[in-house]
Amino acid sequence: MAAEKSSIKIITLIAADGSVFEVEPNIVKEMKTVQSYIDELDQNTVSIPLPNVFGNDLAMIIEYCKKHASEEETKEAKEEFDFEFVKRMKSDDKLRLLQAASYLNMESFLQFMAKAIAAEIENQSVEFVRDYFQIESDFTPEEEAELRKENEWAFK
Amino acid sequence: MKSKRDRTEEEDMLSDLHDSILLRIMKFMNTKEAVQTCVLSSRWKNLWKGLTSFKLNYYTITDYTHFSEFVFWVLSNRDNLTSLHDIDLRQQFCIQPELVNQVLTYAVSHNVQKLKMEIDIIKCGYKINPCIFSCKSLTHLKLSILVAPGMIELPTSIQCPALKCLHLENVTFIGNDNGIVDPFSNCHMLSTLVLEHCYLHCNVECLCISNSKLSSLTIGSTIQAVGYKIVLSTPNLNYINLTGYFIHQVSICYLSFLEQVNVDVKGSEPYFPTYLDMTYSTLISWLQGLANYVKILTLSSSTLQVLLRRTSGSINSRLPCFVRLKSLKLKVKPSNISDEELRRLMNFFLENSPQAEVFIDCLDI
Repeated sequence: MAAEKSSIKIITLIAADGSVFEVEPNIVKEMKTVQSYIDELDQNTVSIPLPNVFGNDLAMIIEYCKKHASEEETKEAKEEFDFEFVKRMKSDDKLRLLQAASYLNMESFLQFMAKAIAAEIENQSVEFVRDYFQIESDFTPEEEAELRKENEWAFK
Repeated sequence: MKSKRDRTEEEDMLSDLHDSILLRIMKFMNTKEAVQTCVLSSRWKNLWKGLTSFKLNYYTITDYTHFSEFVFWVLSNRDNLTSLHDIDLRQQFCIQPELVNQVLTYAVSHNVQKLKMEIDIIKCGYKINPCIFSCKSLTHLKLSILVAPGMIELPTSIQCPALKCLHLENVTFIGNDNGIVDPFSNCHMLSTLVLEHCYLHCNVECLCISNSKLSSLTIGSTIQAVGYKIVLSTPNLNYINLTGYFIHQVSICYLSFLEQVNVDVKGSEPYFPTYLDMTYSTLISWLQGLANYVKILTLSSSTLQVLLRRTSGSINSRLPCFVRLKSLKLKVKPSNISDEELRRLMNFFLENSPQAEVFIDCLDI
């Protein structure tokens, strides 16, 4: 990835609902999708539309990035922040943020959200996980029984 | 009318997400749970087979026969063309030795990068498959295989060109004819090495740790009755951690990058009364070897006890002068060390370490 251009002072991010966020270049470093925009443009101010991310979600992602980009915060403070950050989210929020992280191509945030979701569905019933992801099974009861039998070592 | 399949794709909130993202979520789950997602819907049926990680521990499957059967089943049912980068198997009950060797063979042929195995085996003369010690893709290895009776034997030299972190427990090193073993000199990327309960074969007296990249070294307990000599030829070493029952004498090269040394040795536990003398002389030999380099030295309460109890009067004559020491951290349990003893130790260190600041951390209160 190319180094950030020193001339750029502020990046403007425009969410799907039109809300506008002004951030410093170091905040968007993690967002490879945004970064590739910046690298292509050659101007002092950059305004980037993000049609796949809603304002509320973008606000949370920026909050996360600010905390993690800060050099003053201790490792413990960042961990505490991560814990609280996940705690106040509903499962829908997590899935939307996961999608946003994927769209923005944010490796470590993507890992963070994937881990949070895994922790929620681990040790839960198949019905719970279907409900969580809003999956409607397309198996007949016979097909499902057959699958459970084929993979019986995992269901013991 | 829409088919059932179409409806599912419309309503599935994750249908926008690529399979690789779903696999990222599954990667954080243990593999048994990950396989169970196969019944969610047809999209998920074969998804788990593309997982590049395999994680299983004794909390997930407590029965050891079931554990082994499941491991074999996963290896033969996952997608054979997909790499298996990350393996983490932990089981506190004894499992079949064939399982370990089969996992190792599979791992090496599927580009394993991180391998962690903490398991017990009961089999006389068990030989570990040596293929793992020449694996080209391996970056992290933790092997803690307790074989009763005996230990697993390592080859004379480990040839893993990408290996960065190596943690070995309960292994025996086999040396060459002149009684020396030098296992790590061909791991050119190695930066972290942890050795615990490591033995030398009966004809070997000296463990050479020679590596030009190594920056962090931890050496733990031994339950071998006679200590061996450790020769450090590690010019890039930055951090040393010594723990447990510690009786290996040392010879140390020039360590110009050394910053931090933590010592938490034990010498006065009731089960090992005779170790106290050995631990004391070992500790002195390490401190003498490190005295010219260390900047931050942390000594645990049990380490201070070893220093104090062994020699009430002669400690000053044996302990070296720490010329570069900036910070000395003493972890003190007041119930084990009196104020007078602590004062005596501190005076000594302050006299011999002109630049050092002393920090005392009281643990009992």
